[in-house]
Amino acid sequence: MKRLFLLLKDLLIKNLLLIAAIIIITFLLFHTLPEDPARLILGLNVSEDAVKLFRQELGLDKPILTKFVDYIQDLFTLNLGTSYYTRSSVTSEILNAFYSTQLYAGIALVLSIIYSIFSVYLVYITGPFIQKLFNSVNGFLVSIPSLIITLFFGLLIYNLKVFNEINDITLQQIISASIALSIYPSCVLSQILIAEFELIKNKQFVIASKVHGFVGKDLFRIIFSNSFLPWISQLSNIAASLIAGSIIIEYIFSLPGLGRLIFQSIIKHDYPVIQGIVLFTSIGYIIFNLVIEMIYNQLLVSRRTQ
Amino acid sequence: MNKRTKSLILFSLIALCFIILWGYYIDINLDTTNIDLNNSLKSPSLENAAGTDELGRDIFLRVIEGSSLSLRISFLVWGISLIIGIILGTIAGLYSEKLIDTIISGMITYIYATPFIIFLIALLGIIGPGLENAYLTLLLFAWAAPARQTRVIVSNIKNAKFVTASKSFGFSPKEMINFVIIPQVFKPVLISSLAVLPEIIALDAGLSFFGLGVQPPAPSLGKMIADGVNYLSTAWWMSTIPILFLLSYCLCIRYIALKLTGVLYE
Repeated sequence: MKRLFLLLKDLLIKNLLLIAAIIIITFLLFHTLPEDPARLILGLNVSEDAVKLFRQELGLDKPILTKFVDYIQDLFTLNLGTSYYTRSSVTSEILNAFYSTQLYAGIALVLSIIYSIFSVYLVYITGPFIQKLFNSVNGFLVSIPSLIITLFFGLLIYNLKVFNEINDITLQQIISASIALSIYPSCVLSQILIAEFELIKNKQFVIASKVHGFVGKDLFRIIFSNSFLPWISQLSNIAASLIAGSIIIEYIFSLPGLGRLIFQSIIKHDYPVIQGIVLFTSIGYIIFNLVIEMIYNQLLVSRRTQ
Repeated sequence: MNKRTKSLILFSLIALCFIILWGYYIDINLDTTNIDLNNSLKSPSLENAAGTDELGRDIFLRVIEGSSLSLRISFLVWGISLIIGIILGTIAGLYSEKLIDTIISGMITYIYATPFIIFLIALLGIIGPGLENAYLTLLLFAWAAPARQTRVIVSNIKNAKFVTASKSFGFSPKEMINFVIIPQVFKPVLISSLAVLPEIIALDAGLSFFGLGVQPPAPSLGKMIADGVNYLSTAWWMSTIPILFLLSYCLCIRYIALKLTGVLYE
Protein backbone atom coordinates (compact mmCIF):
# COMPACT_ATOMS: atom_id res chain seq x y z
CA MET A 1 0.00 0.00 0.00
CA LYS A 2 2.82 2.38 0.88
CA ARG A 3 4.53 1.57 -2.39
CA LEU A 4 1.35 2.33 -4.28
CA PHE A 5 1.09 5.67 -2.52
CA LEU A 6 4.67 6.54 -3.43
CA LEU A 7 4.01 5.57 -7.01
CA LEU A 8 0.94 7.75 -7.09
CA LYS A 9 2.94 10.69 -5.76
CA ASP A 10 5.62 10.11 -8.37
CA LEU A 11 3.14 9.94 -11.22
CA LEU A 12 1.22 12.95 -9.95
CA ILE A 13 4.34 15.11 -9.91
CA LYS A 14 5.11 14.02 -13.45
CA ASN A 15 1.61 14.78 -14.65
CA LEU A 16 1.11 17.95 -12.68
CA LEU A 17 3.32 19.92 -15.06
CA LEU A 18 1.34 18.62 -17.99
CA ILE A 19 -1.94 19.55 -16.34
CA ALA A 20 -0.59 23.03 -15.59
CA ALA A 21 0.44 23.35 -19.25
CA ILE A 22 -3.02 22.29 -20.36
CA ILE A 23 -4.67 24.82 -18.06
CA ILE A 24 -2.44 27.69 -19.22
CA ILE A 25 -2.61 26.87 -22.93
CA THR A 26 -6.37 26.53 -22.80
CA PHE A 27 -6.64 29.86 -21.03
CA LEU A 28 -4.42 31.59 -23.59
CA LEU A 29 -6.35 30.00 -26.42
CA PHE A 30 -9.72 31.22 -25.24
CA HIS A 31 -8.89 34.57 -23.65
CA THR A 32 -6.68 36.12 -26.30
CA LEU A 33 -9.28 35.82 -29.04
CA PRO A 34 -8.87 38.04 -32.07
CA GLU A 35 -12.62 38.46 -32.29
CA ASP A 36 -14.96 39.85 -29.70
CA PRO A 37 -17.24 37.05 -28.45
CA ALA A 38 -19.89 39.56 -27.38
CA ARG A 39 -20.07 40.99 -30.89
CA LEU A 40 -20.17 37.49 -32.41
CA ILE A 41 -23.03 36.43 -30.20
CA LEU A 42 -25.14 39.57 -30.38
CA GLY A 43 -24.64 40.11 -34.11
CA LEU A 44 -23.77 43.24 -36.05
CA ASN A 45 -27.08 45.06 -35.62
CA VAL A 46 -26.79 45.65 -31.89
CA SER A 47 -25.64 49.01 -30.59
CA GLU A 48 -22.23 49.55 -29.04
CA ASP A 49 -23.74 50.17 -25.58
CA ALA A 50 -25.54 46.84 -25.53
CA VAL A 51 -22.32 45.05 -26.49
CA LYS A 52 -20.52 46.88 -23.70
CA LEU A 53 -23.18 45.86 -21.20
CA PHE A 54 -22.99 42.27 -22.40
CA ARG A 55 -19.21 42.28 -22.08
CA GLN A 56 -19.54 43.57 -18.54
CA GLU A 57 -22.07 40.89 -17.74
CA LEU A 58 -19.78 38.13 -19.04
CA GLY A 59 -16.74 39.65 -17.37
CA LEU A 60 -14.98 40.09 -20.70
CA ASP A 61 -13.82 43.64 -20.01
CA LYS A 62 -11.58 42.74 -17.08
CA PRO A 63 -7.79 42.85 -17.56
CA ILE A 64 -6.27 39.53 -18.56
CA LEU A 65 -4.49 38.90 -15.26
CA THR A 66 -7.70 39.31 -13.27
CA LYS A 67 -9.36 36.92 -15.70
CA PHE A 68 -6.57 34.41 -15.16
CA VAL A 69 -6.86 34.58 -11.38
CA ASP A 70 -10.63 34.16 -11.62
CA TYR A 71 -10.17 31.24 -13.99
CA ILE A 72 -7.78 29.45 -11.65
CA GLN A 73 -10.04 30.09 -8.66
CA ASP A 74 -13.02 28.75 -10.58
CA LEU A 75 -11.07 25.66 -11.58
CA PHE A 76 -10.36 24.80 -7.97
CA THR A 77 -14.07 24.83 -7.23
CA LEU A 78 -14.68 22.79 -10.42
CA ASN A 79 -16.62 25.70 -11.84
CA LEU A 80 -15.98 25.98 -15.57
CA GLY A 81 -18.10 29.09 -16.02
CA THR A 82 -21.54 29.58 -17.49
CA SER A 83 -22.61 29.02 -21.06
CA TYR A 84 -23.18 32.20 -23.10
CA TYR A 85 -26.43 30.80 -24.44
CA THR A 86 -28.20 28.57 -22.00
CA ARG A 87 -26.79 30.46 -19.00
CA SER A 88 -26.51 27.14 -17.21
CA SER A 89 -23.36 25.84 -15.56
CA VAL A 90 -20.84 24.45 -18.05
CA THR A 91 -19.83 21.74 -15.59
CA SER A 92 -23.30 20.25 -15.46
CA GLU A 93 -23.69 20.48 -19.26
CA ILE A 94 -20.41 18.66 -19.80
CA LEU A 95 -21.20 16.03 -17.20
CA ASN A 96 -24.57 15.38 -18.85
CA ALA A 97 -22.93 15.00 -22.25
CA PHE A 98 -20.14 12.88 -20.82
CA TYR A 99 -22.67 10.55 -19.25
CA SER A 100 -23.95 9.48 -22.66
CA THR A 101 -20.50 9.42 -24.28
CA GLN A 102 -19.05 7.22 -21.57
CA LEU A 103 -22.03 4.91 -21.89
CA TYR A 104 -21.30 3.76 -25.41
CA ALA A 105 -17.55 4.29 -25.17
CA GLY A 106 -17.64 2.07 -22.09
CA ILE A 107 -19.71 -0.57 -23.85
CA ALA A 108 -17.27 -0.42 -26.76
CA LEU A 109 -14.34 -0.90 -24.42
CA VAL A 110 -15.99 -3.89 -22.75
CA LEU A 111 -16.88 -5.37 -26.14
CA SER A 112 -13.32 -5.02 -27.38
CA ILE A 113 -11.94 -6.62 -24.24
CA ILE A 114 -14.36 -9.53 -24.63
CA TYR A 115 -13.49 -9.86 -28.32
CA SER A 116 -9.76 -9.93 -27.68
CA ILE A 117 -10.01 -12.57 -24.97
CA PHE A 118 -12.40 -14.60 -27.08
CA SER A 119 -10.09 -14.39 -30.10
CA VAL A 120 -7.07 -15.54 -28.15
CA TYR A 121 -9.03 -18.43 -26.67
CA LEU A 122 -10.22 -19.43 -30.10
CA VAL A 123 -6.66 -19.35 -31.40
CA TYR A 124 -5.58 -21.43 -28.43
CA ILE A 125 -8.12 -24.18 -28.94
CA THR A 126 -8.01 -24.33 -32.74
CA GLY A 127 -4.60 -23.67 -34.17
CA PRO A 128 -2.50 -21.89 -36.75
CA PHE A 129 -5.14 -21.45 -39.43
CA ILE A 130 -7.49 -19.46 -37.18
CA GLN A 131 -4.50 -17.56 -35.87
CA LYS A 132 -3.53 -16.53 -39.39
CA LEU A 133 -7.10 -15.50 -40.06
CA PHE A 134 -7.27 -13.33 -36.95
CA ASN A 135 -3.84 -11.89 -37.61
CA SER A 136 -4.67 -10.87 -41.14
CA VAL A 137 -8.07 -9.39 -40.27
CA ASN A 138 -6.68 -7.50 -37.28
CA GLY A 139 -3.59 -6.38 -39.17
CA PHE A 140 -5.67 -5.11 -42.04
CA LEU A 141 -8.05 -3.13 -39.85
CA VAL A 142 -5.34 -1.75 -37.58
CA SER A 143 -3.40 -0.40 -40.55
CA ILE A 144 -6.21 2.04 -41.34
CA PRO A 145 -6.54 5.14 -39.12
CA SER A 146 -9.13 4.73 -36.37
CA LEU A 147 -11.21 7.70 -37.52
CA ILE A 148 -11.77 6.19 -40.95
CA ILE A 149 -12.47 2.71 -39.56
CA THR A 150 -15.03 4.07 -37.15
CA LEU A 151 -16.64 6.16 -39.88
CA PHE A 152 -16.74 3.22 -42.28
CA PHE A 153 -18.25 0.75 -39.86
CA GLY A 154 -20.61 3.36 -38.48
CA LEU A 155 -21.99 3.94 -41.96
CA LEU A 156 -22.02 0.22 -42.68
CA ILE A 157 -24.02 -0.64 -39.58
CA TYR A 158 -26.33 2.29 -40.19
CA ASN A 159 -26.86 1.25 -43.82
CA LEU A 160 -27.40 -2.43 -43.22
CA LYS A 161 -29.79 -1.72 -40.31
CA VAL A 162 -28.38 -4.67 -38.44
CA PHE A 163 -30.14 -3.98 -35.19
CA ASN A 164 -33.53 -2.97 -36.52
CA GLU A 165 -35.27 -5.84 -34.76
CA ILE A 166 -34.70 -4.16 -31.42
CA ASN A 167 -37.83 -2.16 -30.73
CA ASP A 168 -36.33 0.47 -28.48
CA ILE A 169 -34.76 3.09 -30.78
CA THR A 170 -32.42 4.48 -28.12
CA LEU A 171 -31.15 1.02 -27.28
CA GLN A 172 -30.78 0.24 -30.99
CA GLN A 173 -28.72 3.38 -31.53
CA ILE A 174 -26.54 2.80 -28.50
CA ILE A 175 -25.80 -0.80 -29.49
CA SER A 176 -24.97 0.08 -33.09
CA ALA A 177 -22.84 3.02 -31.99
CA SER A 178 -20.88 0.96 -29.48
CA ILE A 179 -20.27 -1.84 -31.96
CA ALA A 180 -19.04 0.56 -34.64
CA LEU A 181 -16.85 2.24 -32.04
CA SER A 182 -15.45 -1.04 -30.74
CA ILE A 183 -14.07 -2.38 -34.04
CA TYR A 184 -10.75 -0.55 -34.00
CA PRO A 185 -9.95 -1.12 -30.29
CA SER A 186 -10.96 -4.77 -30.62
CA CYS A 187 -8.47 -5.34 -33.40
CA VAL A 188 -5.65 -3.53 -31.60
CA LEU A 189 -6.22 -5.40 -28.35
CA SER A 190 -6.69 -8.74 -30.06
CA GLN A 191 -3.55 -8.33 -32.16
CA ILE A 192 -1.42 -7.50 -29.15
CA LEU A 193 -2.88 -10.23 -27.00
CA ILE A 194 -2.45 -12.93 -29.66
CA ALA A 195 1.14 -11.89 -30.36
CA GLU A 196 2.07 -11.88 -26.68
CA PHE A 197 0.20 -15.15 -26.09
CA GLU A 198 2.13 -16.90 -28.85
CA LEU A 199 5.36 -15.56 -27.41
CA ILE A 200 4.63 -16.79 -23.90
CA LYS A 201 3.32 -20.14 -25.16
CA ASN A 202 6.82 -21.34 -26.02
CA LYS A 203 8.43 -20.22 -22.76
CA GLN A 204 10.01 -22.87 -20.57
CA PHE A 205 7.69 -22.46 -17.60
CA VAL A 206 4.73 -23.21 -19.86
CA ILE A 207 6.43 -26.37 -21.06
CA ALA A 208 7.11 -27.20 -17.44
CA SER A 209 3.44 -26.73 -16.57
CA LYS A 210 2.55 -29.00 -19.46
CA VAL A 211 4.88 -31.61 -18.01
CA HIS A 212 3.16 -31.17 -14.66
CA GLY A 213 -0.07 -32.14 -16.34
CA PHE A 214 -1.79 -28.86 -16.99
CA VAL A 215 -3.99 -29.08 -20.06
CA GLY A 216 -6.93 -27.26 -21.62
CA LYS A 217 -8.42 -24.41 -19.65
CA ASP A 218 -5.88 -24.58 -16.85
CA LEU A 219 -2.97 -24.22 -19.23
CA PHE A 220 -4.76 -21.38 -20.99
CA ARG A 221 -5.17 -19.62 -17.66
CA ILE A 222 -1.47 -19.95 -16.93
CA ILE A 223 -0.40 -18.58 -20.30
CA PHE A 224 -3.02 -15.85 -20.30
CA SER A 225 -2.19 -14.57 -16.84
CA ASN A 226 1.39 -14.10 -18.01
CA SER A 227 0.61 -12.41 -21.29
CA PHE A 228 -1.93 -9.70 -20.65
CA LEU A 229 0.38 -6.93 -19.33
CA PRO A 230 1.12 -5.27 -22.70
CA TRP A 231 -2.55 -5.49 -23.38
CA ILE A 232 -3.33 -3.38 -20.32
CA SER A 233 -0.83 -0.72 -21.25
CA GLN A 234 -2.52 -0.48 -24.61
CA LEU A 235 -5.83 0.48 -22.98
CA SER A 236 -4.69 4.08 -22.62
CA ASN A 237 -4.05 4.37 -26.37
CA ILE A 238 -7.45 2.88 -26.95
CA ALA A 239 -9.10 5.58 -24.86
CA ALA A 240 -7.78 8.29 -27.20
CA SER A 241 -9.16 6.56 -30.27
CA LEU A 242 -12.47 6.02 -28.46
CA ILE A 243 -12.76 9.73 -27.73
CA ALA A 244 -11.96 10.65 -31.34
CA GLY A 245 -14.27 7.98 -32.71
CA SER A 246 -17.17 8.88 -30.45
CA ILE A 247 -17.30 12.36 -31.99
CA ILE A 248 -17.96 10.83 -35.41
CA ILE A 249 -20.31 8.16 -34.12
CA GLU A 250 -22.43 10.75 -32.35
CA TYR A 251 -22.82 12.57 -35.64
CA ILE A 252 -23.83 9.47 -37.62
CA PHE A 253 -26.28 8.03 -35.11
CA SER A 254 -27.43 11.46 -33.88
CA LEU A 255 -26.70 10.64 -30.26
CA PRO A 256 -26.15 13.20 -27.52
CA GLY A 257 -22.64 13.48 -26.14
CA LEU A 258 -19.43 15.45 -25.87
CA GLY A 259 -18.79 15.50 -29.61
CA ARG A 260 -22.19 16.92 -30.38
CA LEU A 261 -21.85 19.45 -27.58
CA ILE A 262 -18.52 20.73 -28.90
CA PHE A 263 -19.91 21.19 -32.41
CA GLN A 264 -23.02 22.98 -31.27
CA SER A 265 -20.83 25.24 -29.17
CA ILE A 266 -18.47 25.95 -32.08
CA ILE A 267 -21.38 26.93 -34.30
CA LYS A 268 -22.79 29.19 -31.58
CA HIS A 269 -19.37 30.59 -30.52
CA ASP A 270 -20.09 29.40 -27.01
CA TYR A 271 -16.49 29.62 -25.85
CA PRO A 272 -16.87 28.66 -22.15
CA VAL A 273 -18.35 25.31 -23.17
CA ILE A 274 -15.58 24.59 -25.70
CA GLN A 275 -12.97 25.56 -23.15
CA GLY A 276 -14.63 23.33 -20.58
CA ILE A 277 -14.67 20.36 -22.95
CA VAL A 278 -11.00 20.80 -23.87
CA LEU A 279 -10.04 20.98 -20.19
CA PHE A 280 -12.31 18.12 -19.18
CA THR A 281 -11.20 15.68 -21.88
CA SER A 282 -7.49 16.51 -21.56
CA ILE A 283 -7.35 16.25 -17.79
CA GLY A 284 -9.72 13.29 -17.77
CA TYR A 285 -7.54 11.48 -20.26
CA ILE A 286 -4.43 12.12 -18.18
CA ILE A 287 -6.17 10.79 -15.08
CA PHE A 288 -7.32 7.72 -17.01
CA ASN A 289 -3.73 7.12 -18.11
CA LEU A 290 -2.58 7.52 -14.54
CA VAL A 291 -5.02 4.88 -13.35
CA ILE A 292 -3.95 2.51 -16.12
CA GLU A 293 -0.30 3.10 -15.28
CA MET A 294 -0.93 2.37 -11.61
CA ILE A 295 -2.82 -0.83 -12.39
CA TYR A 296 0.00 -1.85 -14.71
CA ASN A 297 2.64 -1.22 -12.08
CA GLN A 298 0.66 -3.03 -9.44
CA LEU A 299 0.25 -6.08 -11.67
CA LEU A 300 3.89 -6.00 -12.69
CA VAL A 301 5.10 -5.96 -9.11
CA SER A 302 2.67 -8.64 -7.95
CA ARG A 303 3.84 -10.78 -10.86
CA ARG A 304 7.46 -10.31 -9.85
CA THR A 305 6.89 -11.07 -6.19
CA GLN A 306 5.09 -14.27 -7.14
CA MET B 1 12.33 -6.83 -51.66
CA ASN B 2 11.09 -9.02 -54.48
CA LYS B 3 9.89 -7.94 -57.86
CA ARG B 4 6.20 -8.17 -57.01
CA THR B 5 6.53 -5.88 -54.00
CA LYS B 6 8.54 -3.41 -56.03
CA SER B 7 5.96 -3.28 -58.77
CA LEU B 8 3.14 -2.95 -56.21
CA ILE B 9 4.89 -0.03 -54.53
CA LEU B 10 5.47 1.57 -57.91
CA PHE B 11 1.85 0.98 -58.83
CA SER B 12 0.61 2.58 -55.59
CA LEU B 13 2.80 5.62 -56.11
CA ILE B 14 1.72 6.00 -59.72
CA ALA B 15 -1.94 5.61 -58.73
CA LEU B 16 -1.64 8.30 -56.05
CA CYS B 17 0.15 10.68 -58.44
CA PHE B 18 -2.41 9.93 -61.13
CA ILE B 19 -5.29 10.76 -58.78
CA ILE B 20 -3.61 14.01 -57.75
CA LEU B 21 -2.99 15.06 -61.38
CA TRP B 22 -6.43 13.97 -62.56
CA GLY B 23 -8.10 15.90 -59.76
CA TYR B 24 -5.97 18.90 -60.60
CA TYR B 25 -7.07 18.64 -64.22
CA ILE B 26 -10.74 18.41 -63.17
CA ASP B 27 -10.22 21.35 -60.83
CA ILE B 28 -9.00 23.55 -63.70
CA ASN B 29 -11.06 22.39 -66.65
CA LEU B 30 -14.39 21.05 -65.41
CA ASP B 31 -17.01 22.62 -63.23
CA THR B 32 -18.07 20.15 -60.57
CA THR B 33 -20.05 22.66 -58.53
CA ASN B 34 -22.79 23.11 -61.14
CA ILE B 35 -26.19 22.50 -59.56
CA ASP B 36 -28.63 20.47 -61.63
CA LEU B 37 -31.70 19.62 -59.60
CA ASN B 38 -33.25 17.52 -62.38
CA ASN B 39 -30.50 14.98 -61.90
CA SER B 40 -30.41 14.82 -58.12
CA LEU B 41 -29.79 11.53 -56.28
CA LYS B 42 -29.34 9.39 -59.41
CA SER B 43 -27.91 5.97 -58.67
CA PRO B 44 -24.62 4.88 -60.29
CA SER B 45 -24.95 4.39 -64.05
CA LEU B 46 -22.85 4.58 -67.19
CA GLU B 47 -23.36 8.32 -67.36
CA ASN B 48 -22.50 9.02 -63.73
CA ALA B 49 -20.07 6.37 -62.63
CA ALA B 50 -20.80 6.96 -58.95
CA GLY B 51 -24.22 8.52 -59.13
CA THR B 52 -25.15 12.09 -58.28
CA ASP B 53 -25.66 13.90 -55.01
CA GLU B 54 -28.67 15.83 -53.71
CA LEU B 55 -27.83 18.81 -55.93
CA GLY B 56 -27.34 16.73 -59.06
CA ARG B 57 -23.54 16.96 -59.12
CA ASP B 58 -21.52 14.03 -60.40
CA ILE B 59 -20.02 12.28 -57.40
CA PHE B 60 -17.19 10.52 -59.18
CA LEU B 61 -15.64 13.72 -60.51
CA ARG B 62 -16.12 15.39 -57.15
CA VAL B 63 -14.48 12.47 -55.37
CA ILE B 64 -11.44 12.64 -57.64
CA GLU B 65 -11.19 16.40 -57.27
CA GLY B 66 -11.69 16.21 -53.53
CA SER B 67 -9.16 13.43 -53.11
CA SER B 68 -6.65 15.36 -55.14
CA LEU B 69 -7.08 18.35 -52.86
CA SER B 70 -7.01 16.19 -49.74
CA LEU B 71 -3.90 14.31 -50.88
CA ARG B 72 -2.15 17.51 -51.86
CA ILE B 73 -2.90 19.01 -48.44
CA SER B 74 -1.74 15.87 -46.68
CA PHE B 75 1.47 15.51 -48.68
CA LEU B 76 2.33 19.18 -48.22
CA VAL B 77 1.61 19.06 -44.50
CA TRP B 78 3.59 15.84 -44.23
CA GLY B 79 6.59 17.36 -46.02
CA ILE B 80 6.58 20.53 -43.96
CA SER B 81 6.05 18.63 -40.73
CA LEU B 82 8.97 16.38 -41.62
CA ILE B 83 11.24 19.40 -42.02
CA ILE B 84 9.98 21.08 -38.85
CA GLY B 85 10.14 17.80 -36.94
CA ILE B 86 13.69 17.01 -38.01
CA ILE B 87 14.89 20.52 -37.17
CA LEU B 88 13.22 20.65 -33.75
CA GLY B 89 14.09 17.05 -32.99
CA THR B 90 17.75 17.64 -33.83
CA ILE B 91 17.84 20.70 -31.60
CA ALA B 92 16.18 18.80 -28.75
CA GLY B 93 18.49 15.82 -29.23
CA LEU B 94 21.67 17.86 -29.33
CA TYR B 95 20.77 19.88 -26.26
CA SER B 96 19.09 17.04 -24.38
CA GLU B 97 18.20 17.78 -20.77
CA LYS B 98 18.59 21.49 -21.32
CA LEU B 99 15.74 23.98 -21.23
CA ILE B 100 15.09 23.90 -24.98
CA ASP B 101 14.82 20.12 -24.94
CA THR B 102 12.39 20.31 -22.03
CA ILE B 103 10.21 22.73 -23.98
CA ILE B 104 10.24 20.72 -27.22
CA SER B 105 9.68 17.36 -25.59
CA GLY B 106 7.03 18.96 -23.40
CA MET B 107 5.19 20.04 -26.52
CA ILE B 108 5.48 16.54 -27.95
CA THR B 109 4.15 15.08 -24.71
CA TYR B 110 1.29 17.55 -24.80
CA ILE B 111 0.32 16.35 -28.27
CA TYR B 112 0.49 12.67 -27.36
CA ALA B 113 -0.80 12.76 -23.79
CA THR B 114 -4.02 14.62 -24.48
CA PRO B 115 -6.84 13.78 -26.89
CA PHE B 116 -5.40 16.22 -29.35
CA ILE B 117 -8.19 16.01 -31.91
CA ILE B 118 -10.55 17.78 -29.51
CA PHE B 119 -7.96 20.49 -29.04
CA LEU B 120 -7.60 20.85 -32.82
CA ILE B 121 -11.36 21.03 -33.31
CA ALA B 122 -11.61 23.69 -30.62
CA LEU B 123 -8.72 25.61 -32.18
CA LEU B 124 -10.33 25.51 -35.62
CA GLY B 125 -13.61 26.57 -34.06
CA ILE B 126 -11.89 29.62 -32.63
CA ILE B 127 -9.71 30.72 -35.52
CA GLY B 128 -12.46 29.85 -37.97
CA PRO B 129 -12.72 27.09 -40.58
CA GLY B 130 -10.92 27.27 -43.90
CA LEU B 131 -8.14 25.74 -45.92
CA GLU B 132 -5.22 27.73 -44.48
CA ASN B 133 -6.37 27.18 -40.91
CA ALA B 134 -6.80 23.48 -41.59
CA TYR B 135 -3.22 23.37 -42.85
CA LEU B 136 -2.07 25.05 -39.67
CA THR B 137 -3.91 22.70 -37.34
CA LEU B 138 -2.77 19.62 -39.24
CA LEU B 139 0.80 20.85 -38.99
CA LEU B 140 0.41 21.35 -35.25
CA PHE B 141 -0.41 17.65 -34.97
CA ALA B 142 1.92 16.19 -37.57
CA TRP B 143 5.32 17.54 -36.58
CA ALA B 144 5.39 15.62 -33.31
CA ALA B 145 6.03 12.13 -34.68
CA PRO B 146 9.17 12.92 -36.72
CA ALA B 147 10.44 15.24 -33.98
CA ARG B 148 10.13 12.56 -31.31
CA GLN B 149 11.98 10.00 -33.40
CA THR B 150 14.69 12.43 -34.48
CA ARG B 151 15.24 13.49 -30.90
CA VAL B 152 15.81 9.92 -29.77
CA ILE B 153 18.15 9.07 -32.64
CA VAL B 154 20.18 12.26 -32.31
CA SER B 155 20.56 11.98 -28.55
CA ASN B 156 21.73 8.40 -29.07
CA ILE B 157 24.30 9.07 -31.78
CA LYS B 158 25.65 12.41 -30.62
CA ASN B 159 28.25 10.68 -28.45
CA ALA B 160 29.00 7.98 -31.02
CA LYS B 161 32.54 7.55 -32.23
CA PHE B 162 32.00 8.73 -35.77
CA VAL B 163 30.56 12.01 -34.50
CA THR B 164 33.57 12.53 -32.24
CA ALA B 165 35.80 11.66 -35.16
CA SER B 166 34.15 14.23 -37.37
CA LYS B 167 34.62 16.75 -34.60
CA SER B 168 38.31 15.96 -34.53
CA PHE B 169 38.49 16.45 -38.29
CA GLY B 170 37.58 20.05 -37.63
CA PHE B 171 33.94 20.08 -38.70
CA SER B 172 32.10 23.12 -37.45
CA PRO B 173 28.87 22.38 -35.50
CA LYS B 174 26.81 23.48 -38.51
CA GLU B 175 28.71 21.17 -40.87
CA MET B 176 28.46 18.36 -38.39
CA ILE B 177 24.70 18.64 -38.22
CA ASN B 178 24.36 18.94 -41.98
CA PHE B 179 26.79 16.26 -43.12
CA VAL B 180 27.02 13.81 -40.23
CA ILE B 181 23.88 13.82 -38.12
CA ILE B 182 21.08 14.64 -40.57
CA PRO B 183 22.03 11.87 -43.06
CA GLN B 184 21.87 9.37 -40.20
CA VAL B 185 18.47 10.61 -39.13
CA PHE B 186 16.81 11.28 -42.43
CA LYS B 187 16.12 7.84 -43.82
CA PRO B 188 14.51 6.16 -40.77
CA VAL B 189 12.51 9.26 -39.92
CA LEU B 190 11.30 9.64 -43.49
CA ILE B 191 10.13 6.07 -43.69
CA SER B 192 8.51 5.84 -40.30
CA SER B 193 6.80 9.17 -40.73
CA LEU B 194 5.17 7.69 -43.82
CA ALA B 195 3.07 5.82 -41.29
CA VAL B 196 1.78 9.17 -40.01
CA LEU B 197 0.60 10.18 -43.47
CA PRO B 198 -2.64 8.13 -43.28
CA GLU B 199 -3.31 9.73 -39.92
CA ILE B 200 -2.96 13.15 -41.53
CA ILE B 201 -5.31 12.13 -44.34
CA ALA B 202 -7.80 10.80 -41.79
CA LEU B 203 -7.57 13.91 -39.66
CA ASP B 204 -8.03 16.11 -42.71
CA ALA B 205 -11.08 14.10 -43.69
CA GLY B 206 -12.34 14.22 -40.11
CA LEU B 207 -11.99 17.98 -39.92
CA SER B 208 -13.77 18.50 -43.22
CA PHE B 209 -16.38 15.94 -42.11
CA PHE B 210 -17.43 18.49 -39.54
CA GLY B 211 -17.23 21.36 -42.01
CA LEU B 212 -14.04 22.75 -40.53
CA GLY B 213 -11.76 22.10 -43.51
CA VAL B 214 -12.20 23.06 -47.13
CA GLN B 215 -15.29 25.21 -47.50
CA PRO B 216 -18.12 24.28 -49.86
CA PRO B 217 -18.85 24.33 -52.77
CA ALA B 218 -15.29 23.04 -53.30
CA PRO B 219 -15.48 19.24 -52.88
CA SER B 220 -13.69 17.46 -50.05
CA LEU B 221 -14.00 13.82 -49.13
CA GLY B 222 -14.95 14.39 -45.50
CA LYS B 223 -17.67 16.88 -46.33
CA MET B 224 -19.08 14.57 -49.01
CA ILE B 225 -19.31 11.72 -46.49
CA ALA B 226 -21.00 14.02 -43.97
CA ASP B 227 -23.51 15.18 -46.61
CA GLY B 228 -24.13 11.57 -47.55
CA VAL B 229 -24.97 10.64 -43.95
CA ASN B 230 -28.21 12.61 -44.28
CA TYR B 231 -29.23 10.55 -47.33
CA LEU B 232 -28.08 7.15 -46.09
CA SER B 233 -31.45 5.46 -46.43
CA THR B 234 -32.11 6.68 -49.99
CA ALA B 235 -28.67 7.15 -51.56
CA TRP B 236 -26.02 4.86 -50.14
CA TRP B 237 -23.48 5.79 -52.83
CA MET B 238 -23.18 9.38 -51.62
CA SER B 239 -21.17 8.49 -48.54
CA THR B 240 -19.91 5.00 -49.38
CA ILE B 241 -17.91 5.85 -52.49
CA PRO B 242 -15.87 8.68 -50.93
CA ILE B 243 -15.07 6.53 -47.91
CA LEU B 244 -13.92 3.63 -50.09
CA PHE B 245 -11.55 5.98 -51.88
CA LEU B 246 -10.30 7.26 -48.54
CA LEU B 247 -9.72 3.69 -47.35
CA SER B 248 -7.76 2.81 -50.48
CA TYR B 249 -5.44 5.83 -50.13
CA CYS B 250 -4.68 4.90 -46.54
CA LEU B 251 -4.03 1.28 -47.49
CA CYS B 252 -1.76 2.31 -50.39
CA ILE B 253 0.37 4.51 -48.17
CA ARG B 254 0.45 2.01 -45.31
CA TYR B 255 1.57 -0.68 -47.74
CA ILE B 256 4.40 1.47 -49.04
CA ALA B 257 5.41 2.40 -45.48
CA LEU B 258 5.33 -1.23 -44.35
CA LYS B 259 7.45 -2.51 -47.20
CA LEU B 260 9.97 0.33 -46.98
CA THR B 261 10.31 -0.24 -43.23
CA GLY B 262 11.10 -3.85 -44.01
CA VAL B 263 13.84 -2.72 -46.38
CA LEU B 264 15.25 -0.39 -43.74
CA TYR B 265 15.69 -3.10 -41.16
CA GLU B 266 16.86 -5.82 -43.52
